[in-house]
Amino acid sequence: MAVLLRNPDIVWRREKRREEQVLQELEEGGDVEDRGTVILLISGMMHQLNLLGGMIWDLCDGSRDQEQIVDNLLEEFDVEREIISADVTDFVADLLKRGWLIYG
Amino acid sequence: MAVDLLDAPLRISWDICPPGQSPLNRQQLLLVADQLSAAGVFFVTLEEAPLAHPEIQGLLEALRQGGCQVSLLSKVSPAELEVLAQLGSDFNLFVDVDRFCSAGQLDAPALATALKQVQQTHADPALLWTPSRGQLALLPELLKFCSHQQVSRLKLPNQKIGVNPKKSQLDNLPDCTDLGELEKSIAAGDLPARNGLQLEVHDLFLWELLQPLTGGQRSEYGGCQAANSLGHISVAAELFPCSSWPEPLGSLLENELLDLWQSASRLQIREAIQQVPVGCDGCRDYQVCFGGCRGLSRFCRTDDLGRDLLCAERR
Repeated sequence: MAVLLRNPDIVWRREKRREEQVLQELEEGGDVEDRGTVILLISGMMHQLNLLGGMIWDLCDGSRDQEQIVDNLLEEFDVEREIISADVTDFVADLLKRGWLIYG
Repeated sequence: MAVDLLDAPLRISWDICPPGQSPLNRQQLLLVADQLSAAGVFFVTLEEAPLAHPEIQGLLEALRQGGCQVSLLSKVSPAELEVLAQLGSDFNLFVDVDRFCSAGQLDAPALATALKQVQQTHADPALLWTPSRGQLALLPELLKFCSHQQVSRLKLPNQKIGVNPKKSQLDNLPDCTDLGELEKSIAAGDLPARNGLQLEVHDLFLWELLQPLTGGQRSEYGGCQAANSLGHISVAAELFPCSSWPEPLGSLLENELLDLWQSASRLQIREAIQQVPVGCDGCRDYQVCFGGCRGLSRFCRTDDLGRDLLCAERR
């Protein structure tokens, strides 16, 4: 499968301090689904990705295909492969449709 | 998803060489530039005669190497044109339209000449205009100028009141009366075709009037971005919530930007911005504008309504 690449026109940043807080909340069992850890600026509009979305985004550097991204995430999260794989598929499909990700 | 509090600003404006004030030396400039790069600031706009600073080239290089996209504001003086010729064009250049407006008139021939002069050194200069009281009605004429001269980008930022606003300066800010005059002018058919112009309007109420030209949505606006995605740096390297909020958070020569952005002062400002202004209570459009520019309403209104200066009434 083709490697995934972030659209080079998009400027983005990992919010490292916020990511630390979110990871801590996650460890404590909190709901962090709506907490952003990556900021994207697209056509002047600010968007944010949550922890999982941000990690997928970070991994889309043109060196991995979708399955390799799932492999990387399984090293971070203790969940079934099918669950992560479904999340990655949905997320990648959405961002490909928006033009935020492209195939390299 | 609503945008949370950011670790650092995304956009910074920076006063480099205002007349009559001592600019930073090379070492200080580079120290601040390093801070902006380390914090991951996306966009840095150099204002207040940046081309007059003898170390402008080094500053531009440092910011670009640090990953910041740089914009630079020029009044197109002969001295600035000389410097521009030495700098290359790896930055966005904005021509300050204010220099070409006086006594309620836009000096279009002089602005056209200035644009041509700048185009000899910079491929695609944009225009920037921050209208004063009584000048907003000139906007249709400026838009027609952009169309005729094939200007690709016009930026209309919020009013800047600087770090020590004077009363005369505050009295000169446009208000909802000015916006009303512009509205009448637009209703009379004064708005030209867009003609490829990229129009960037910061004030929500002005944006609303110009929406046929701006296009798009502001769905991710989320309210005043002072002390969140916006920041401002004074000539003395003091960090501010934005150029319309004159309360310093601390010096970037003595503190880390990331620490100042986590300080109690910054968080208090964000908490204040989260409060619904008295004049907006019950307004049907509050979830669209969130009170607009809170800095100007906080420091420039003579009443305690707290509404954006360009907002005429509760809707």
